[in-house]
Amino acid sequence: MDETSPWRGFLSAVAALSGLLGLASGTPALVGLAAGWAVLLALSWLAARHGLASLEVRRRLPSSAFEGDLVTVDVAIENHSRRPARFVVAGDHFGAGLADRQSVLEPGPLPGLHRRILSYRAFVARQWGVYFVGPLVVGRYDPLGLFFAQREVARLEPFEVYPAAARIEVAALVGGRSSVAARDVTAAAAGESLLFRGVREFHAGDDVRRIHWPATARRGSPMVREHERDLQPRLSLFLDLERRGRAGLGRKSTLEYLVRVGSSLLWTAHRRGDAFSLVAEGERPVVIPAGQGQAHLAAVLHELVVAKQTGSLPLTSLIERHRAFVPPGAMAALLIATTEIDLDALAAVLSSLRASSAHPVVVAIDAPAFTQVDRPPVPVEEARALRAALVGRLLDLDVPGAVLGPDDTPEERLSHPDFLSLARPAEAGS
Amino acid sequence: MKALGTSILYLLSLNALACAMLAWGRATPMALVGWAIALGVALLVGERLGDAFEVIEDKRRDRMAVFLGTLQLSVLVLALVLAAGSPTPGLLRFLTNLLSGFLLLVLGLARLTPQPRSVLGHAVALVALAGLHGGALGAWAAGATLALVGLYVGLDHHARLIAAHRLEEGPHTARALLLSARVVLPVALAVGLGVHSAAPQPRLSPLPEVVDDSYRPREEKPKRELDSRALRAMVMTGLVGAVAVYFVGRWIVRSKRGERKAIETPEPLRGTLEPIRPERAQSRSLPHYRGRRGRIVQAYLGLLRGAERAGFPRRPAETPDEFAAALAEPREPLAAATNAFLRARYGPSEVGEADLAEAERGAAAVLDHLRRQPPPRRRDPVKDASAPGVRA
Repeated sequence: MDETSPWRGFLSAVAALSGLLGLASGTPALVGLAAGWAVLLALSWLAARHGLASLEVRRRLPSSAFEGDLVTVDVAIENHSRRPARFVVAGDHFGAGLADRQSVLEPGPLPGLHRRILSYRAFVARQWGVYFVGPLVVGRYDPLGLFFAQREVARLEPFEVYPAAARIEVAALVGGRSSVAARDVTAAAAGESLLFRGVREFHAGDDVRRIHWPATARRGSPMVREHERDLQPRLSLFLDLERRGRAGLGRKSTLEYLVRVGSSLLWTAHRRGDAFSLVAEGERPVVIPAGQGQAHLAAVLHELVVAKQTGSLPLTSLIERHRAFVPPGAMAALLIATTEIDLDALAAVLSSLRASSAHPVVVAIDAPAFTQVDRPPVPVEEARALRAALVGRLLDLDVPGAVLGPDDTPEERLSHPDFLSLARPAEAGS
Repeated sequence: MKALGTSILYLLSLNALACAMLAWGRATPMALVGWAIALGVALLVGERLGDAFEVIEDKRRDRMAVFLGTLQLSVLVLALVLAAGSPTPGLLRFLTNLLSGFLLLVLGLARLTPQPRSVLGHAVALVALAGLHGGALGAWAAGATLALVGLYVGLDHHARLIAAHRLEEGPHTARALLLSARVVLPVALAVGLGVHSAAPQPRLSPLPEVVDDSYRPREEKPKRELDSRALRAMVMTGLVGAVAVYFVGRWIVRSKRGERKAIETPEPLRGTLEPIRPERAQSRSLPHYRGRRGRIVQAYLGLLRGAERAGFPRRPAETPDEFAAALAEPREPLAAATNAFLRARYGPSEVGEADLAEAERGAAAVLDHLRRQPPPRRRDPVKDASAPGVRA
């Protein structure tokens, strides 16, 4: 609702004309009418401001959401005075939505020293990134609606929007296997797996429910069943934020593709209960060790949405520096921003990962095929050759991978069952 | 709420028309009843036409509203200038009849715009005619018009506010009316009384003009007040003003169109009312005891405040006995005040006058001693942790 009254200006003009006419013609009724309106204006102005200082408003909302999510925002309107408050308006600005402002009304009466929580739902309509929520204002009209007084009570709060993640089905074939339940990676070798390992003597602290009664009867002393520890599936994501991979604009940019593919890989790992880590180096090094859970996912996605392609370290060097993040059996996802990469160095890294029983996966963005922003465009033939060379090398090494170009839509490619199946490009002219 | 608003609009129109008619027209009861019915019918037609106007494109409707508003304003200004310039009963009767008839048309087109400004403006113009009459009628016209306009504006505001936030009108109609009335009615009453006290008698009608047909030289002929040149100037001013108003109105309509912001009014889930905890400062206020107990406690608290001012504050975890042991001097009155306080604060039996006297005498003696011989500043275990040379 517009905060400017449609009546204030009009009736003030009418009253002013009446007053002038009354003064000119010596008519007290018209002068009185104008004076009465002036008094009403003054009273309304005061009434709108009266008690505003004793109204407080607080907001509670999650700090992040995915694109297209509905976010519940709780706005608590508090009346710190002794008198009831009526028709209190709380205004908020949800930066990730399309509206300029959200306005909720508490018609009241809101008794003194009481609060009421109004929960509204906002649609995350904007793309991934960091937005702001606020400022939060509390305001009220005078009884005639001629004036609206408001007070800003909360500063801006950051709100992160993560890219809508696609579940990558094919990744299940590559990395570790599905776990029965999430487990601590530092547990002893014997664990809670369903796989039976053997029988051993009872130690203090063992769960009595695990006592193996036939063996106990045979040995004459308590024996317990022992199960194998379930392998902890793990994904290590290496993100290429080197400056030379920068190309394209808006939704058709390499950064957009990197973030969308990266978030989908992480989301898929999270959904499966895997542990996942992130290593990247843009304007600053980003090293997030392996972990699980919502909070860990939020921390990793935060680094993704604030990432900038301003790094100078090639991805192969980055992997070599942080090899400890890829334990045996883990899946190492290499997210490369460009096909202009040192293939020999890449081959060496992939071989090294293979040697340590890791499962490397390469997803490359065909940066030369995108619109160039800070360098001359790359000839089409050269871009094709670079892409073909990369694909060929990956096929030679038998490394699953994918190359995404500007004509691909990341969401569609990611959810395709053959996402990581490379095909050798057809020779030119054939 | 809309029905109530329409009723007030009807009352406003009827009041303005009746006041003008009573002042200058032929106000027989039958004529007034006839006008009341006509106004009601016109307003009903206007409300019905509101739905029909909805289908007209906004831009086209704005243009129509600006055009008709300009026309109406021109007529009203011209009529009021004529009325104020030459308030003869015949002219005022003519203008009252003209504006009353015009009011029917205005009511019929009331919903051409979201807010029926034309009706309010027209009602005020009729009230202005009634106001020229003065006396009790003028006072009533001014006061009642102010009250009805205020009530309508208040109701219209609440209706728009509630509709914008998609709430049910029903539970809030009475409250909206009450809130508006609480502001408007006292002012309207004051205006009515003030106007009546300023001009209690109606204005006398001017004597009929006697035309002197006898011969007199050309240069001695008296000039009439409202000659043709003045009338021409008024008409010209009215026309120029109308054109100016038309363009100003268009400019206002166009400038407002670009300023609109996308304000979302989501339907919130309303939680239950929760009490807010009182402020911390309030919870730290001193306890109050009545009677002798209270006076003993107050005396002891005065002792503590005096000791604090003298640089020897009680520590938060310190009991009265521990504090007395730490302060040490003057031993006897301090022990007396402390014991009396302990009996009054924690003792099961009622304290007597002797206890009260003992406590007050002891506290006064301790305070006197502290004034004469201030104790060494007491070390704060937290704040003065590193301060050397201060006694604990």
